[in-house]
Amino acid sequence: MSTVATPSQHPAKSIESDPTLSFSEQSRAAGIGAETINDFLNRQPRSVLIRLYEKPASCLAIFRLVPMLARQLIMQMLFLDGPLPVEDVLSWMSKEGKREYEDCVERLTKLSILAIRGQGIKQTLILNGVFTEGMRRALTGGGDHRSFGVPCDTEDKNAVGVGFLDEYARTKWETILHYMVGSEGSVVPREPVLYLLRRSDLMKKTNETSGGRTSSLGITSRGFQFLLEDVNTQLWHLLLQYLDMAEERNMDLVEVLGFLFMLGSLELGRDYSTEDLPETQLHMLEDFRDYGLIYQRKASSRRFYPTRLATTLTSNASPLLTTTTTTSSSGGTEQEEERGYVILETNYRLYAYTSSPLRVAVLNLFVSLKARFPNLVIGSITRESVKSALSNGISAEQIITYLTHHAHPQMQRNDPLLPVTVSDQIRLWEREKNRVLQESGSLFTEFSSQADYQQVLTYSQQLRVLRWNDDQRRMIFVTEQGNEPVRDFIRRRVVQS
Amino acid sequence: MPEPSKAPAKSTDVANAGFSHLATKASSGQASKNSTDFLVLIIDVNPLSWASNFSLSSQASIASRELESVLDAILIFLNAHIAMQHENGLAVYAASLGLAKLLFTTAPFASKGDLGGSSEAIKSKPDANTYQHFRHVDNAVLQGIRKMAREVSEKDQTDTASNQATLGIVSAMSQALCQLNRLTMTDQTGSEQSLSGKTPGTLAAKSSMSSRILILSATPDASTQYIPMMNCIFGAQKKGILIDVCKMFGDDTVFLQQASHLTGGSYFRLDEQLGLLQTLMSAYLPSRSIRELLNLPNQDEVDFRAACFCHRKIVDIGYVCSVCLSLFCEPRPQCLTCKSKYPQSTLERFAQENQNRIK
Repeated sequence: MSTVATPSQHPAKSIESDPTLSFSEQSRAAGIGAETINDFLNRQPRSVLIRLYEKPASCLAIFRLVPMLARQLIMQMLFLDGPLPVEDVLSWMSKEGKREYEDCVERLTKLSILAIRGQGIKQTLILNGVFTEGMRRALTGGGDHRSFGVPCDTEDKNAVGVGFLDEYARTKWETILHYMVGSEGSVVPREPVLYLLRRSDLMKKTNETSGGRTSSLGITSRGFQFLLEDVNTQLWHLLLQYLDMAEERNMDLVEVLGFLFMLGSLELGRDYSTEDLPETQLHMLEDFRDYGLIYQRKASSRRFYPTRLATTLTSNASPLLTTTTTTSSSGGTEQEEERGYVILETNYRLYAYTSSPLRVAVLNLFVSLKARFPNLVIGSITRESVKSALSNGISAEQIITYLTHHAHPQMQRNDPLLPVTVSDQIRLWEREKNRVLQESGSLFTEFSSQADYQQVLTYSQQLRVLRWNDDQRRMIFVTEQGNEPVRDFIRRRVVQS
Repeated sequence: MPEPSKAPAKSTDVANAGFSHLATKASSGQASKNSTDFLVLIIDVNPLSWASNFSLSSQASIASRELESVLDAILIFLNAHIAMQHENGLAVYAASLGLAKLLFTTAPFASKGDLGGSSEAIKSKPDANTYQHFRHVDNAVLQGIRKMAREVSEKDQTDTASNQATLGIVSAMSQALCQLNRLTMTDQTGSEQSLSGKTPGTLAAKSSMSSRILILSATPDASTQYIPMMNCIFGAQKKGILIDVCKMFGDDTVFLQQASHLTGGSYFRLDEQLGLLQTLMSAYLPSRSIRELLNLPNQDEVDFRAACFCHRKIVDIGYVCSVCLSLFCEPRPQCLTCKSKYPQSTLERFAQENQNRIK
């Protein structure tokens, strides 16, 4: 018995569908960023949401998560005292707006922010009272909800600056990524982090028995895709896992979410007091230190500094966290790098102006590196390097998107951005992989006579388990399910004769 | 000098070109679906018009209270603008008699020291009950306006003579345009060539940025301002910047109507002071990305009358120089702008026509 590769039945189909998927869709299919915080909130029962809306900071954060038109709708109704007739709203929308309006209302009702009362023409929209109160408070200020972070009253003797915090967040976060890539000399993160990585299926235990418990974690294909995402997506991916875990650990979800949203509203470079935080949030504080969301000088410190990772949590912009992935050597290189560092030539050569070991490690996933200089890495994209990336579960589209995303500003003048030859070739290499479909089955050979061969052939054809046959050499290959009946058939034939 | 009668058609083309440029840029940028919105708010705090409006109905104490309630509404509106999107930018100008001041800006290149009062606000301890971004804006705007009111009143006492009818609105508009222009410049250089980019900031990294100016107007037109105003409008058109106008009280202003009409913004005259907040929220909050989904208030008819170059009067019938297209309210033998001499016969014909009309 052996395994052979047979041409797949519909090779064309599988190839055509791939390139049409966008990067996000592909990674969504793989589960990275599949669930957003929106989905998570949608799942929450009304009681949790209403309790969440008691904090103006949460109101503001959730407000920023809904679509633009929905935000406008909320703003419009916020300072109206009575309900708003649906008719009025519709008259104020243009044709395209009406279509989007439906989605917005659905979203908002799911989040219990909006309710529809009445029937037919007399339908009116009503904003949830608690949300209205919270949102108004957020806009006008005042009150004593203390949801935007309690600042420290006393001066910090060991105050730290924004630069330090950025650097701190960067190292913390990159430690985790480095560990995932498995770069040499990477520090092993603390156990809770590892647990979360395992839980979110970014890393899994390998079978190696040697080494300690922690060193036996290996990266999964989802983990590779995770690495190619931008930091904000990565962070949310982990945080959502954290939220799931919080549910299991019976932490109060309102407090967990409230804390997350509060972090998003804090000011970078300012110290906040931990004194008023409830037990759950103190616990989260400890966890978040590991991810570099928060800086505390000592674990017992009564003050904490949010880092840029934390303060940009509730914003949608992707490049906000760029400073964390750059080197700290000098201001100039940082800014250059944050906008792109990869130059790709038509001859498949790739120059990456970076000194960050993490970026080099990520590039190393699909580029065969040739030379390294202090601020420059030279490599080329080869069939082998791309193939090894593909076998790790990285898709061609992801590679192309990554290269596009991090293209050097000088590449921006090209149209299209990446050399067509290279991007097409990468796609072709992927198709090469998809062209063959592996199937295990059994091969029957050495038939004594042509008649025997014919009989077995017809039998397997009748059972529709035949995959391939060769009349000349009298060979038959059947699928796995077909193995047993065909073998039995041959045995019966042998017994008969 | 601009020529008012022909330019609009030409500049609209330019403005549209600007729009399509922005649109393609936004659609090609795969990362950001929502473009950043930079709002410049110009508040007209001309004490004369405020006082005259409220003195008609009530005492001075009520007038100041009115101003405060208007300011409250404005602050809530500004907060709402920042709340709409994390990346939204904001700049606030106050325009008074003959001067305009920048009260607050999120533009990365502005040094904090320039801003009146905001440096104190930044130093102050944060309050756990207020979102910090909101607090910065609110403090800067309130303190700035207070400071400005003080300055204006002092100036009034020292020299009333020099205090002509020059208005701050135009000055604020041109400052705003300069700032927006600089923002878009850093935006472009940011994306095209970063080697010289020393001022990337958060805005520079964005693939697209749409900007608009909102003028809260209280003062009636001053015809002396016609030419600079038109220059501002054309500048805005060319850059694809919307100008929204909300007339808080008083009669319509012809120039600002034209400004919003020509740049594609919306113009609205409030009938009632109490509706200010709601109007701001519903008509002026929507960013440009969702404006196409909404029906915003439009003007049914726009008064396109121009002001003459010689006396700055708003004219119904004017005389246009055939060489430089300057506009005059009466026939004259020589153009004031380009010094071209007109043929005697034409002047005679004008004189005759005038006589006929009078008859």
